Amino acid sequence: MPDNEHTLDPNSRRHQEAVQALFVKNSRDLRFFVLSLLPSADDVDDILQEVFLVITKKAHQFTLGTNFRAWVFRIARITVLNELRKSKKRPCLLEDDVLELLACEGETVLADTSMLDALGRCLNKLDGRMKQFVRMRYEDGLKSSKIAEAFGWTPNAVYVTLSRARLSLRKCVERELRHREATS
Amino acid sequence: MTGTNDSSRPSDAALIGRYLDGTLDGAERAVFQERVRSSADFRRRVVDESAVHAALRDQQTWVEADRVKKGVSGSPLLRTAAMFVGLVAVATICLLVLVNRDGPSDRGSSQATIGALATVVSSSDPEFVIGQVLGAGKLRLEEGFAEIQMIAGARLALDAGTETYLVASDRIRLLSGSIGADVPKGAEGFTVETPSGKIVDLGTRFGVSVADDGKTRAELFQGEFEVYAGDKDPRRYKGSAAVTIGRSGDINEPSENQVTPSEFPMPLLVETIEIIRGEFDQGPFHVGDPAPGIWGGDVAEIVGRENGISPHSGQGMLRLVSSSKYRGPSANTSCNIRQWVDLQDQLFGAAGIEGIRVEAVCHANRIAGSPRIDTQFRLNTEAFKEMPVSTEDMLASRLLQREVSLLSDDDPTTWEQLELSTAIPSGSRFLLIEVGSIENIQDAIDGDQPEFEGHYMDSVEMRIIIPARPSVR
Repeated sequence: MPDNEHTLDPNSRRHQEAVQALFVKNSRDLRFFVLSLLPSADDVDDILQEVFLVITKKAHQFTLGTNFRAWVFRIARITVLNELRKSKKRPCLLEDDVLELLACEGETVLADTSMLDALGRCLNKLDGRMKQFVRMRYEDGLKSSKIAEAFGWTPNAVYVTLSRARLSLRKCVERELRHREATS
Repeated sequence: MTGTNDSSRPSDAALIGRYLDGTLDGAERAVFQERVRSSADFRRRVVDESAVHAALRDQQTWVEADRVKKGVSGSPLLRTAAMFVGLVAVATICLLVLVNRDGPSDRGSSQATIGALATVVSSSDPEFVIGQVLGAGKLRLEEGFAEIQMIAGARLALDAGTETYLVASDRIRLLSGSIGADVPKGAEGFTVETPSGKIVDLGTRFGVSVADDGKTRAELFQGEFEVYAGDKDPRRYKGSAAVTIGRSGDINEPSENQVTPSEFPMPLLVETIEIIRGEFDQGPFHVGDPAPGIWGGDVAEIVGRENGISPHSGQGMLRLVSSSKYRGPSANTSCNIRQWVDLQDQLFGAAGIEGIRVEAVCHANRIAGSPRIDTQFRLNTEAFKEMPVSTEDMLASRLLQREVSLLSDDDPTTWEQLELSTAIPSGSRFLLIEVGSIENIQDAIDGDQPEFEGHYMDSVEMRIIIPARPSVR
């Protein structure tokens, strides 16, 4: 990356390329953020593409050296809301104010690539049933109702087990990251 | 509804579970929304579980979990993508065509696309299409040459016959053949595993090959890397190095220790060429005879803000004074300063290849207020095979000359940009970059008249673009 990126003309091609490169650098975190707003969506990458087009068009509005993550997350939130409003395939699941509340909370959460490494280790520490349910739900892609059928459980009982598993993983990841920070 | 906290309301766990599955019914949705609005704890829990849910849907999480389970040590942190990508690579990360080759079982298109590890950015093998997104799995290039951009930032070049396994966004296993890697800042830690060891990049440009007998050769062209073999402590190399690792894990450094970059394919390289004092920041400045790293030419000086003009960047800017080495007008009609650049460090064995480009940028401004004020600025670049020692030499060894100019506006509050982009002939070793202003309105020849009443230049930058290439054997 050029050393003097902060002196680039905001309307220049090189400035636009610099903004696009920042998008790539943050694309994993952005994907997690959009997934957390649309947890059951299969077209997250379509939305990311839309966000990419918006940041390309508005690249001149971004000042290099300032908080790109805040800027692009704001654009992603607006893009998700617009997508939910206009999409006939996906009736708006939650109302706008609820989505805004979750989106604002979500921007502060550590849902990024620093979690992935720790999460791999934490998955192996889950106990038997939780680990089994998590693998079936996420690695094998089974819906919770199918898991319930397979074990003769009620769907709500499966939801409770998966919820506990997610919270347990979350705590484990936080411990791992704290430990890494303390020993580095 | 069953599994509720009381007879009328579902539990928080069930609500969140159904929300994440997208199966909230009307009544449950109303309760869910009411809870989000009224309870900060519930809101936080939804977001925490959504974050884990998002990470669990990423195929990479499962690759890491399997590695940890098998006890593979040295699991690298997954790093976010590094800065450099070309426009094609950036755009294609947003596309959704995934090909899994001999990798983990297909988990369905949505989860598979989430597990993208790399994108094809150039290819002459018909099996690999530009923009194709690659997940974990084996990759074999049957013919031609290809470049892939790893999600974590490393850019790789592969020769025909090369077989690799994409393990993670910053890790590959080279099974046979040759690769070249460019790993920009922020993507350090990129790892190439081979049958006899592994190479961990610390911010560099390097090549790795695996021979039919499993022996590994790794060459460092710039930066640093670490070589791991067997149970031995890793060895770190800087700058330039050639290392072989035998099947038994023995590391050898060939006695000649000469790198041979042409024997490895190399990805595209875009690198800033350092122009010394290109920002014209305040400090001692003397225009002498031009040389690598030194501005030479006509009379010019570095100044701070003056005549209503502020520097384009930093605290200083260059003021052009006269069209000769002496203060005061001369018969010449332009004031130019120039600097030589030696490309030796940038070329990495690319000397002799076609298609190398250089781009140069500078900024110009001037005072206004009179129609007699000259308005023209210029940016010039020339390429040479050798450093000339005389004017005759210059003419004889010059391979290229390109120039742009502009007529500046009347607004001293705005800087205007001159930009030049040109291919340079193969065999170019030295570049000359030259900036200046031209007496296009009034040629001052009277000793009392200033030639340039207030003409300024600032922020001179240059970069070199070396195209990707296969190995040359």
